[in-house]
Amino acid sequence: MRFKGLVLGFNSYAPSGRRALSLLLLSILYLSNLPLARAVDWVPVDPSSVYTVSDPNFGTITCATVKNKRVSGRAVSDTRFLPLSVSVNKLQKKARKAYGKKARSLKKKASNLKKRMKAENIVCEQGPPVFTPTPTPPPSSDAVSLEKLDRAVEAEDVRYLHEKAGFGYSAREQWLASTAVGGTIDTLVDTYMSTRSEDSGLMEKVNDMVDGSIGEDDSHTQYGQRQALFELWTHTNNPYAERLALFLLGVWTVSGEAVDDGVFRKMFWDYYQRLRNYSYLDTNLTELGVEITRDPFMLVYLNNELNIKGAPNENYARELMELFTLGTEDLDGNPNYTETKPDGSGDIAVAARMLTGWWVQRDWWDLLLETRYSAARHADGPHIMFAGTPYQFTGENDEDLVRGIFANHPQVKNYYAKELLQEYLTPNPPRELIESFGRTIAENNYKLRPAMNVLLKSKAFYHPFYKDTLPKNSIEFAVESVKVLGLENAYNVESTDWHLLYMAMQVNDSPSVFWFSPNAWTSAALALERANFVTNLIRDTDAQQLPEPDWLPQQILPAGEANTRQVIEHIAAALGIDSVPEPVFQALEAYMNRERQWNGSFINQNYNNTNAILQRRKGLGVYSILMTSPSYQLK
Amino acid sequence: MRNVSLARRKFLRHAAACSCGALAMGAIPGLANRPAHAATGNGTKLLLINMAGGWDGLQICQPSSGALYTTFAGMRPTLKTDPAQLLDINGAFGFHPSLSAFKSLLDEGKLVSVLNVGYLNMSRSHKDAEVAFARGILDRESVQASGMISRMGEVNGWSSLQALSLNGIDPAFEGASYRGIQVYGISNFRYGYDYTQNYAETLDRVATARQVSDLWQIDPAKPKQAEVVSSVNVAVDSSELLYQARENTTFPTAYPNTQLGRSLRDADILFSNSSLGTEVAYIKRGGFDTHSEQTDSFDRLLPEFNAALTTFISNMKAKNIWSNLIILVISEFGRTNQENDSQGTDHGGALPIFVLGGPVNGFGNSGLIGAMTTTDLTDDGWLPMKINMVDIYRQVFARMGYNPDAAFEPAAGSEVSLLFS
Repeated sequence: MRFKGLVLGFNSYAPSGRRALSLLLLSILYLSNLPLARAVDWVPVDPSSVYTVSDPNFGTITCATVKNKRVSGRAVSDTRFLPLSVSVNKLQKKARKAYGKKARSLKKKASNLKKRMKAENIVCEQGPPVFTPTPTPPPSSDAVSLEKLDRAVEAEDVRYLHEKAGFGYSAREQWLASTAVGGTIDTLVDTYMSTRSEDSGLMEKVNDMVDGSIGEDDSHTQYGQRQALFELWTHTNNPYAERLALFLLGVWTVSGEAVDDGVFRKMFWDYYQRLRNYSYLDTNLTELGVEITRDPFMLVYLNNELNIKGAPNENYARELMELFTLGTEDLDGNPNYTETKPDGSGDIAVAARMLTGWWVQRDWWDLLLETRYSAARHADGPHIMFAGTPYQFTGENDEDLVRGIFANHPQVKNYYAKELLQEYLTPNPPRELIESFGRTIAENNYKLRPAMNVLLKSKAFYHPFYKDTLPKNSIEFAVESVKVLGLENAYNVESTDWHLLYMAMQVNDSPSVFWFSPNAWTSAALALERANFVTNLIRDTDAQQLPEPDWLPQQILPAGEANTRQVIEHIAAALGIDSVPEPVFQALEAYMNRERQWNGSFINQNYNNTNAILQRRKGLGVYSILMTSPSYQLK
Repeated sequence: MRNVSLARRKFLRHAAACSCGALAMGAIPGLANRPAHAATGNGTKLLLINMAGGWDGLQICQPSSGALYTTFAGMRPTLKTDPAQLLDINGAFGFHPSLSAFKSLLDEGKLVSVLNVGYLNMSRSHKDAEVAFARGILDRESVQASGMISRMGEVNGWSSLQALSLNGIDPAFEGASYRGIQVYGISNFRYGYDYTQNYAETLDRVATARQVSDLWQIDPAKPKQAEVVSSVNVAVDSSELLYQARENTTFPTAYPNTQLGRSLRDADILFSNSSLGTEVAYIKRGGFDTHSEQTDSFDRLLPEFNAALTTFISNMKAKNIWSNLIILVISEFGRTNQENDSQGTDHGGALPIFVLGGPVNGFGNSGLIGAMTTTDLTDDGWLPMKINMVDIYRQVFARMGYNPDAAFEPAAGSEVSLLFS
């Protein structure tokens, strides 16, 4: 073995005493990891600079920072690293010493290894494994196919459809299973999407909850609106349309509290009704865009009321493209529009000019907003949008702008396809699916109902690849939990609203000009708040007060003398948990057969499914525990 | 619902103390079993304050003299502050009159303003810009990265309490395997805080949920499953510790009852309780997306910020934490150089970042790093990026005792080498 660094005169011809001394010194230096005595095979490295990267071509690559450069190689120990370049050098050296066929073979090996080293070094140079891994590619063509599902509908499909495209699945929705299971996907989805009348008195109650909250202290209005919507979501017979309205709010976001500091917050209700109306119709996005652009609430929220000829305010112009129609970049990362330039050109500036003319009349007595138009405030055209691109168009005003964007810009369809797939299917939809669904949306002239009908019937939608990939947002979680527990008529309206605040989803008070991404719904704080919400829902109070007025735990537990395992199986089925691992069964059974005391000790008690107190405490407890499972938190 | 008898409170404190003892003994696996490569810094703590919405750095740190001021004043006829009212930095720039806390720190040599900070291919979209700053990458278009806190946590094997977001969900905490806690105020981060419920039973349910959490079969191809499990584990493992910390913390100076006051109070709690091991606290204050009536917004927001920050600094000094505390005040972008006709400003480009704290080398660089020219104001609608945010992040984490190479791209070479002493 040769060592670089100190010349120690270690060779076979040296006197034996000197050889022994050299060996001793080398051993000490080697063991103490001093660089002077390190072998050429490895280099000392900072342990924190060593990392691995998963690469689609080379599998796992180990990288380390050597001489301020990230290189590929192998970690010999925590502090020692063998760069691939050393192996390449060795092979090259061997090849030089060899002859004939062996030399050619070694040369080829060295050349291949060098190529690989270069490629791996490039991967290493890109940095440590902290970047988002490439999403797993879809396993089959069915996973990206919008072709109609060609098998008979199964019970699981009915649940899955409600989970992904509604507000969860509970006893309220089971009627559809009895109608659709064994039939075609057409029957299931067409029935699901069809508009049915709401139960008697629901809409009156909803409207009363809004109207009744408007009193002398108008801040109550925000509570009333949220409580009314929660009541609607827990009782609706039209989960498709109501869920779509919530999706549309996630795109065309407004905040009741941000409009004139909340003074006109009651106008949020009118705004949301517009989204609901479109969700029940064919949901033509172009028409919705034109209407919302002139909605007084939006005009105030994004400042377009202040956008005047010669005195532009670009806020709405920007968000119209960034958040409502295009996104900042296309699927290849190219910008979808241009920024304002000092000379007043650029798509945002042009759009802002087209959007001028509108202002808002404030009725301070009744706290109402009304849209007004003034020709004097409008910047006359013609205006050229997306100048110099294949999708350039000319228009005069806001309506021309919105219609022009939908009609001409090639990215609108992909933007909506991606937004819908992220909301309804999976956080990272495959590009192929985005593009094919985008085409479907455009072919349907931006009418979402027929486009969603295609998606909800597709092979892709029901592919197992997407099951349990999308976290339920907090409203979906809360509404489904109320329904699964059978508490639609007995949940605490006020505390539910309070919990939704801490679950980060007060529907009329968005966190920003956009809502959270699907990736946000798996935080520790949400896990805790969701557990607290369920605790509050089932109300195992000291006073043993049951939710009012007419709810008993027996309604959601198996009847009679079911044993612990049967109870757990019953609850898992109600929550849509496909399989409960045996260790989970055992842990839950142990929980059911004990009672925790105030001092932290436990006493044994045998669960008895005919004992009302144990049903309430332990039966419902199993519900609350299983609601923390990945199967229930994801859809 | 929140009324509770004194005796019950007393009992709960005892119960919580027992739980805490169990935690200390490693009875809760999530804390006891930290990754083998877990790393802690050198004791330096970081408070990130994000003035969300894109705050107008030009009005926070305003040109105050010479050609730069003349140009600026021409572009900001209604929004400019009279130089006589500004709190002078170096004769060329001054702080907004509301920011006396900044001025005091500047005079102590404990504040540096870094001008024209951003990243390559800056975005003027709230969504993209917020994510870009949260990721801490040199070039927004070059790489898909996880949030920088999440990344630091992953590569250093941080515990879930080593970094917390105190104002909820934030992209800085997303993407990598690390699960820093993102909470809406730590006072709410407790199981069973609804005292009308059966607390003993609630605790048993929580403990059982924690027990079964690790028993679910996870499909490696579905990363959200593991995230759900992890989030439950982190929540259970951390909530009582935070509750105890909250109960045990006192404040030499009371915090104002404002959003920022409450957030900084929470940060105080985290940093005051060394047993938590918190090294990074992240808070966010929205409202800076000032497309109209910017002066009104600033008159409301900046005094709130100043009062809360003054109290926080005072308490940190009183608790001897200040000398090892770095505060970074950021936003997602600056605003347009030219005011609009609604007495506001629109989305802009680069912005000043403020680095405060005991380790800051303010005197070493006159309290100001970077240079702004009149052409910066006139060439484009917004300030150009001259100093990459990554260079600041790298320096901050290096000062905290971490190897920045492990989580950040190599430095862009900006002249920010004198941030810390």
